[in-house]
Amino acid sequence: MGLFRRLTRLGKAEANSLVDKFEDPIKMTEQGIRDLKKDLDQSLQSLAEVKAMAIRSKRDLSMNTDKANNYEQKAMLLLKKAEKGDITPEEADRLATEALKLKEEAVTDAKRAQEEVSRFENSVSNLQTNVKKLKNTITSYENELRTLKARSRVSKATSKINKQMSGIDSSGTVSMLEKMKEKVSQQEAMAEAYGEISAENISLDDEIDGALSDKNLKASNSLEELKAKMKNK
Amino acid sequence: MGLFDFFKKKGPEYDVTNMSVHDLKTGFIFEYDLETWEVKEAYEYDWGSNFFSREYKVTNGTDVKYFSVEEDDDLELSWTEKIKIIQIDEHLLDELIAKQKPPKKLKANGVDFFFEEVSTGYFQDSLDRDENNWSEYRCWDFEDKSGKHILSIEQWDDEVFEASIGKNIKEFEISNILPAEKK
Repeated sequence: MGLFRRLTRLGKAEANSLVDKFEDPIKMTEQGIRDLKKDLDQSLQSLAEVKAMAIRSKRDLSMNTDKANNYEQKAMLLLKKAEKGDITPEEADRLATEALKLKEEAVTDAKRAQEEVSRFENSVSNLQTNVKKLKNTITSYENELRTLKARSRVSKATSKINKQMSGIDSSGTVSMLEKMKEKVSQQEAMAEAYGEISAENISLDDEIDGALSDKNLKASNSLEELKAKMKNK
Repeated sequence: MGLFDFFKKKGPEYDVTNMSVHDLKTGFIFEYDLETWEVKEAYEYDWGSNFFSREYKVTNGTDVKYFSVEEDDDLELSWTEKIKIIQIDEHLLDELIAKQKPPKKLKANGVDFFFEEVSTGYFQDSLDRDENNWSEYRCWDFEDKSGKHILSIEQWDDEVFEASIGKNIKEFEISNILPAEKK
């Protein structure tokens, strides 16, 4: 293998290793879920749009059905008026025919609206199935990620504790505790030693000075005064 | 707006996997009572002391209803429709204009309603348009004995009154909330 090719492979290997170090699987999964949610949002919006179109078609259907009934009623009224002699039969026929033409238009529009409603309802049912699948997938991914995050936190803490317990980590808590323990023992030993030294160092002069101290003198004077007082009584 | 705000990508203001009645806006779709409803308009009520409630005008293509969302300790939802004052009582409007308040008991659609509370606040019909156009508003709320059915008399001016009738509903009854396409 040529030197240049080996160097290139080495460079690639180092670059991949560097990228691996920076790549946090939790963050990558979170980003993946965010992207999926964006897709779901788009799908929900499309589903909403189709449902809104179905509602509009339903409104058209209802409006055109009412319109058709209305024109039929009008045509009947015109014929009744002609029967009563309110208008001429020719005029009534002409107007009733026009009304029936308008009724037919409304019926055609109602039929078209009905077909649209059926078509949209079919699309809604297909879209809804896909949206439900996507939603379930995202929810399961989110739950899995939550569990993995918790497991990762617990395992990190456990590994830290175990590392400290096994003494591998010299700068860790266990070694700090050991050092602290040692220091306290030293301080206690030192205090004990000072106590012993101070007890041994009391000389005769110290005892005399103590006996002659102002406090002792005052106490002895008070004693004498008390004794004199008792004799007088 | 800060320099970094410019680079911030604006995501949806709702959780797509868990949409609730609090997310509703004009154009949103939801299911209620086995029917699909589209939000046509969104209104807001300001009751003072930082207490707001929302109302949505919705349609299924044939009917128009009003869906109200109120967060007062618990979530209170109601589903109503407009009713003509004359349908409640033919003399009610005269009484409202004369006394400027309704009687304590009313009967509508065969149900007896009893006065519950009166609230005064402000209303704006442009929740999605970032406008500040509030009108003063007063509302007398009535309930039947079960507390399920509701009736309200609304006052917009000295001589302008409206009424609506409906029922209290639970949050689980509203399902499949879908967002509208952003414009």
